Amino acid sequence: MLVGLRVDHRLLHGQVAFSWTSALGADCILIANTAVTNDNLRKTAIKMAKPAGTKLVIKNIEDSIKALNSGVTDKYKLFIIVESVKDAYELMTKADIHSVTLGGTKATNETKNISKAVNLTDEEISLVKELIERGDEVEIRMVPTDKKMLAKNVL
Amino acid sequence: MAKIILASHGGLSSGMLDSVKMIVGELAADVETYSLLPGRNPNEYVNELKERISTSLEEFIIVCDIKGGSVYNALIQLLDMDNVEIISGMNMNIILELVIKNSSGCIDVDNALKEGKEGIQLKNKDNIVVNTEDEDF
Repeated sequence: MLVGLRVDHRLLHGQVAFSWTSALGADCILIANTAVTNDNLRKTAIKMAKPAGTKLVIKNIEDSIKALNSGVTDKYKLFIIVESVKDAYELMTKADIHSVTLGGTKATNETKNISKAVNLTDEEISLVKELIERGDEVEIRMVPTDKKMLAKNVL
Repeated sequence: MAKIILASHGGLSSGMLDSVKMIVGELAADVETYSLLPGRNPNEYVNELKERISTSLEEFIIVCDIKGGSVYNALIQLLDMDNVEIISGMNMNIILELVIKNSSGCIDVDNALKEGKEGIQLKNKDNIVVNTEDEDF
């Protein structure tokens, strides 16, 4: 069972590891990210941030979609973390996921500031709008106890 | 739920709470802090606390910056009451563990200490173990 999908450019770090995993009651974390699978030092750091008592799987986007669709993840309370809106969009459209939380995304020259820690490019904004149009819930929230803010109200 | 108090020389305690809130947000809303300022006497605070604790059924967990410091030494005087425990050597792992467990009503001081100790580590190029063991579903 999927308990959460979160976009956070830092992937697994203190904020996610501690508060989200316990608030969601997750017992398995999937880091769906293609770059990390080829970067041993970054993988090591992510493994160090793993909360005790949870399983941590790191897969590229394509393999993540395959795993989600195959049913092997059904027995877990699964929490998926991706780095970008684009990766979330890939998973949501190809693996039947209908809600996502936007955590932090980095500001660059091409991004617009949507909320405190969320910065999106024009392309990402149109992906988010597409998800909203197909009826998915896109919310913005840094820590679980923050108030839930729907992206459709701030875009 | 236990009452968690962070106590330090100067602003460490309020800075610690600020950092902890960045991670757990409002879960830390009920954590209190005490900063000893130059020229002040921690016994004033201890006397205030003593009155509060002695008339309360709540459990008080006080986390101090350093063992043997004046804040710690003053707070130790509270230990003639049953519902007080004092931890020294404040760090973020300890506070996070206390706050998170406290929010579900099952605070575990021993485990918080364990987490705090395990969080102190030296890493450098020579001892970092690149973990290539991958888990799968």
